[in-house]
Amino acid sequence: MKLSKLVKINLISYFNYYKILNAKTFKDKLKEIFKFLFVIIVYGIFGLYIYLFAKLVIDGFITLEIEEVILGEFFALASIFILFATVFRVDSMLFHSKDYDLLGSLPLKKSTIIASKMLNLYFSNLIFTIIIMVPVLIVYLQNVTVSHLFIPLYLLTMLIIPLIPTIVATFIGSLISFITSKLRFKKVFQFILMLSLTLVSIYFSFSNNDISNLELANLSKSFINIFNNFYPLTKVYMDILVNYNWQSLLIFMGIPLIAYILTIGLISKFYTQIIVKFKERITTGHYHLEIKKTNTSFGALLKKEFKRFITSPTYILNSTMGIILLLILSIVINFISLNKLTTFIPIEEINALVSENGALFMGIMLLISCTSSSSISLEGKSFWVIKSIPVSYEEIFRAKVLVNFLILFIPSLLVIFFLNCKFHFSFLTNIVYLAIFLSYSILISILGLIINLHFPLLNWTNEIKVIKQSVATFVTIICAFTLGIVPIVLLSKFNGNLYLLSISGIYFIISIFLSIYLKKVGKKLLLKLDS
Amino acid sequence: MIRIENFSKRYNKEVLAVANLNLEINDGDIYAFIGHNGAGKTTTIKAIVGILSFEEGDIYINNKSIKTDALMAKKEIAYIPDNPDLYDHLKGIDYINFIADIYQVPKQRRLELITKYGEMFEITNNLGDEIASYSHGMKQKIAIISALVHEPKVLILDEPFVGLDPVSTHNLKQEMKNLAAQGASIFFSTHVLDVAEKLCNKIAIIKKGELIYQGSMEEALQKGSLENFFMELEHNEIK
Repeated sequence: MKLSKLVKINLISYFNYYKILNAKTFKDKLKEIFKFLFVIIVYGIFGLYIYLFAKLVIDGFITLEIEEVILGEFFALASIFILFATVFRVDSMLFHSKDYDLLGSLPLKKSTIIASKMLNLYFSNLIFTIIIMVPVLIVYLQNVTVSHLFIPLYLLTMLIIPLIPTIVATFIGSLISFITSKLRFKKVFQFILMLSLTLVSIYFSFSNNDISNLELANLSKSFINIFNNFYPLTKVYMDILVNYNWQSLLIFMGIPLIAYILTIGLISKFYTQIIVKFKERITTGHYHLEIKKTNTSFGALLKKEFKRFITSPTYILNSTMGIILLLILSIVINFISLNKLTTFIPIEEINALVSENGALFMGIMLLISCTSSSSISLEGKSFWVIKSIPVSYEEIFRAKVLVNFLILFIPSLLVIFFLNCKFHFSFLTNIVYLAIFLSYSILISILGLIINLHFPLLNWTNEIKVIKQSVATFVTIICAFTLGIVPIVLLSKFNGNLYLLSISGIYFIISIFLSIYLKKVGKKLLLKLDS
Repeated sequence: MIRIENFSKRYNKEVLAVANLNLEINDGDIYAFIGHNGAGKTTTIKAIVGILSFEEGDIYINNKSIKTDALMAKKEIAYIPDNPDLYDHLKGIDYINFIADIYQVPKQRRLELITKYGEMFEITNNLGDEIASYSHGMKQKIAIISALVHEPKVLILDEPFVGLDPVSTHNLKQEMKNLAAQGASIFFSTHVLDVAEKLCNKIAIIKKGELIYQGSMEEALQKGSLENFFMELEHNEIK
C-alpha cells in the first residue's frame, strides 16, 4: 500500500501530471498539454525510426528464413539501450535524490523506499522498451504468421525486458558514482568515461550502415550468438516466442523478478552506509584567502556561464556532442590513409565532397551543439541571483550567447585547421568553411536562448531533466536539424561556393533579426519568469 | 531609503497576494516585516529587489524606481533570500567574487571585507570548497557575505537567521546595527518576534496581503512585548 503510494507520487512528478491538471489559466493548461504532446511526438518519431529499421532488417532475415532472429536482435538492442540510458541516472535517482531526508525520516521500511525508486527506474525504462519493442511487433506480424499465443506472450515478456538491464546498470552506475565521488578530479573522470561510452555506442550504431540486408541479417545472427554468451536470457526469450516453451517462460520471468527483489534487498541492507559514503565530500577546510584578479560585470557573467558549462560532464556531453565528434573526426581523419577511405568512395569524390559541400554537412554538427537552449533553465533555483543583481538582461543574454558561440567557434577553427592538414583547402574553401561555421555558431547560440526563454524549466531537481529531456532541448534539436538539412536538400538546385556563402549570409541576417527579437521580447519573457 | 507606494501583486491575474501596500523605510531604520506564512512578506520582498514583476504601484530605492530604473535601484540593494540557493558548482569564494565583480568592488576593499566577514562568520577555511558541499547554514553565510561585500545602502533580508548558528546570528544582528548606524536602510522579514523586538526600531505587520500595522517598535511595546501586541492585533482582526 505504502509502496504503491510512493510509486504513484514518483510517477506523478515524472509525468508532471498535476502541472497539467492544476494549471491556473487555459493558456497555462494548453502550454503544459503542448509540452506533454511534444514529448509524445518525439517518442513517436523514435518509434517510427525503430519501425523503419526493423522493416529494413527483416527482409534479410526472411531471405535466410531466420526471421525469428529479429526478436532476439531487438531484445538485445533494447537491453543495451536501457543499460546505457540507466547507468548515469542511477546516481541521481537512487542515491542523490532530494527526497532522501524526507523519506528516511518517515516510518517507512528502507526496502519500501528502495523498491519505489527501483520501480520508478523500471517504469521509465519500460517506456523505452515499449517504444522499441512495439514497432518490432508490428513489423513481425506484418511479415510472419504467428499463433494466437504469440501476442500475449510477446506483451508479457516485454514487461520483463527492462528488469535485468536495470539491475546491471544499477550496479555499474553505483560503482561509478562511488569511485567518482572519492576522486578529486571526479568531473574530468566522469567526462572521459561518459565520452568513451558515448563514442563506443555511436561506433556500434553506425558501423553497420553500409552493408546489405543479407549481410546485416548474417551479422545480426552472429551478434545474437555473441550477445547470448553474455546474456543467456536472449535465447530463452526467443525460445518462448518461437517454440512457445512454457518452461522458458518460467525461467525468463522468474530469474529477473527474483534478481530484482534480491537487488532491492541488497541495496536496502546497505543503503544508509552507501548514502553516508556518497555524501562524504572532499573538502579542503584550509583555504588561504587571496584575490588574484577582478573582472568587469560582463566578464563575471561570462566566467560564471563558462564555469557552469565546464563543471557538468552531462552538460558538456549532451549539449556539445556534435562539435566534440566533429573535432575528433577531423583529427582522426589525419591518421587514416586515403586508400582506406577510398574502399567506400573514390578519392576524387571525397576531396570534392569535403571541399565543395562539406561545410554544410559538418555545419549540422555545430547546429546540434547548443548550450544556450538549457542555459536559462539551468539557473534553476538560483534564478533569483541573475534577477536581483544590477546587470541588464541584455548583458545576461549576451554572456549566455557568447559562451555558446565560443564553445562552437573555437573548436570549429581547429576543425578547419585539421581538415586543411588532410585536404589542403584552397583559400576560397577556407573562407566558405569559416563563413558557414561562423554563421551557424551565431545562429544556434541565439536561437537556443530564445527557445529556452519560451520553454523554461526552473523547478528541476536533476539537471538531466533540463539538458536531455526538456521541451526546449527537443525544439532546439528539431530547429537545428531543419536549419542544417534545408541547405543540403537545396543542393540539388543550387551549388558552388556562392551558394554556400549565400546560405551563410542568410543565416547571418536571420541571426540579426533573432537578436532584435531577443532584445525586445527576451526581457519580457525573463521578467515573467519567477524563481 | 525604501518607499513602497500602492504596491499590489496578483498571481495569474486572479489571486491577490499583496493589496495596496504603502511603506517607507528611512535611512538608519531597521524595519521588521512580520506576518503569517503566506501573508505576502516574500512577495513584497521579491518585488522590492526586482525579482518579481508587478503592475500596480511602484517601489523606490533611494528614489530610483525598481520598475523603471531597475539597474540603478539594484545597485543600491543587497538581498539575502529565505533559501540560499546559490550556484552549487562554484566554490564559496568564486560566488563571493562573482557578486563583488558585478558590484565592481575594488580588489583591496574586497580582500578586507571578505577577510572581515569570513572570520566573523567562521567560514574562511571553507571558502575554497564547492558550495554543493556546504550545509544550509554555510550557504546562508556565503549569501550574507556576498550581500555585505559591496557595502549596500539598502539591505533586504528574508528570514535571515534561519539555519545560522548562535554566534553567527549574534554577529549578523550586530552588523545590521552597524550598517543602520552608518545610514543604511534595513528591511527584513522574520517570524521570531523576540529578535524583531530587540533589533528593530520599526515594524510592519501584514495579514492576507494587507498591512494591518506599521509604526515604531516603541509604540508596539506599550503592550508589554511584541508578542502581546501581535496577538492582540490578531485577536482584534478575528473579532
